[in-house]
Amino acid sequence: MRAVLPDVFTDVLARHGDRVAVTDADGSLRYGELAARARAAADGLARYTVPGERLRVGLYATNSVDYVVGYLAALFAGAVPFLADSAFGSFELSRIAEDCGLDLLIHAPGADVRPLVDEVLPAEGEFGTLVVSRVRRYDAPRPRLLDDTEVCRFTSGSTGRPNCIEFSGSAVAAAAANWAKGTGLSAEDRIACLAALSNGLAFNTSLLAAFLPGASLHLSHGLPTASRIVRLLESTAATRLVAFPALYESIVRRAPKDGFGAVRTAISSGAPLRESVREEFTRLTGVPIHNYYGVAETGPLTYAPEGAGSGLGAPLPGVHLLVEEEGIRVRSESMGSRYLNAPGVFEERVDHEGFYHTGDQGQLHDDVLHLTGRTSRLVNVGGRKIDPIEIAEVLRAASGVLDAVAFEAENQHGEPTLAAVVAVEPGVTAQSVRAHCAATLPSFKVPGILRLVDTIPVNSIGKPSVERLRRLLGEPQSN
Amino acid sequence: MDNSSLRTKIIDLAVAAGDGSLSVDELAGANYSLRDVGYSSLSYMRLIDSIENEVGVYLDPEAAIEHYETIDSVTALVIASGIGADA
Repeated sequence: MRAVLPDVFTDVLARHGDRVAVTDADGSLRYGELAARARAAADGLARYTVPGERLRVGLYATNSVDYVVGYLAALFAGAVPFLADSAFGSFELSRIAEDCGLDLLIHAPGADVRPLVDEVLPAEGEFGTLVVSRVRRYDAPRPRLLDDTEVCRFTSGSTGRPNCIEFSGSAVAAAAANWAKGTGLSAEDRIACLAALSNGLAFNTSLLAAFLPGASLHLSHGLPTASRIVRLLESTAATRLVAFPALYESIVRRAPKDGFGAVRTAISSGAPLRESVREEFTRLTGVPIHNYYGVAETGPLTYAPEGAGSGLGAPLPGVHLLVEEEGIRVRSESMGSRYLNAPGVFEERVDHEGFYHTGDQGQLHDDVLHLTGRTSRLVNVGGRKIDPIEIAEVLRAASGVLDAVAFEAENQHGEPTLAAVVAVEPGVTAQSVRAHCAATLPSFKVPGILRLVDTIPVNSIGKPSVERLRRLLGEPQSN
Repeated sequence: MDNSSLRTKIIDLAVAAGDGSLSVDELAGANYSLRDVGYSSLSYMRLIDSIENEVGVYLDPEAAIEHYETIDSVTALVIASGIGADA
């Protein structure tokens, strides 16, 4: 089966040859230069191809020009790129490598990948500041990829095993084309992308979507604080800003006076943006924030062109959205195919008409989607989904911990965060419990609010009482 | 502001930028290591913003991660960045 994405990228890179394609703090590449670098890197990867198998190449790095080169190199080499969140710890990364049968990993030289790689492979700078390592072999046979799978990305699974979503090349291409068309991207746009390219927000709105019309993509890694982003916007004259709500919160906290002169559109997704933050951001900068609604498994679904209010907008081209009492169902041209490492789980959520059950609940008013709730147990902290069951299991493994419950609660800043109530033996401290979590989990999964108790409060049928747990958080901690 | 006062201020800002249950005592018990208390990226963003607002300095969040691992390394970074240079 002929792959779709290498042809699509080859076409756009040739078509926009002299325009700036991608920049970061260390440099920039025009479309033609990006093509040349990606081809050279692809030749480097192709040396490791096994006859009859497509290479599986993990990408585990923060946003950079080199990241984009590595992604395109994998596609041009006929490999399948697996885009892993750079915030994952070695536990999640090892599960990914084992579950998905990765062959190679592209990563920063200093990344802690020792548990899963055998050796750094020789290279001649094709990947810039990144290196390629061979992933160690696991005993279990690796799952077979669907023939039309060209990209794999990850979503929260259970117990620390991220689910690997397989995407066909045509689904990836459709997501980008429909986003570019539905949001009016043009060659004159300069997109400052502060979300990780491994995440659906950035992947679908800023990678191929930027390249299709010949726009330029401006990347930054590290924490997207307001001061840093203002510098990026000023140096790139970006017209479009793509970020999670945390950046908009930061801008409101810092209240910068300048930097937004060229910005026409700001896009927020991944987690709900507080209305007060939206209003204050627009008051400070004059830039409207546009909501969009997307699901990892289906790609972008709606876009709010008006940039006001809490509505998530109308369906994008190629999206069929059904909002019903039992939840939101969707069929899109950008749908994933299945989970590579969780057979049957994805398929269970797709009905006989091909609609994916999102687990979200909402309402349509004048063809504008409003979310009203979610049936999933996952906790959304700043755009990252966390399974509270996984966190409770980690807590229960800490020394002196008798039982634990993790759940979503509001922090002192009015933002949703992960809270845990932990029953402990006498003498156990919050410090020791938190240290156990910090040593076991990536920092975004460490409960921000931790409350130690003698026993977990339960309801009349012996289950943890969420109401009493939440009430506990409002009471002073006893010693 | 002398270095000791600055350090005390940064401790207070770090606790205030947390989610709510991190205390000065717990931070002291962890030798003022933000890494060891699992300080999240969202808390770091709030901390950097509040340091910039209150101390008048630009902190580059792309500075090496070691600069953000402890209260002492953050304090050193603030001093090196030049207090009052970029309010």
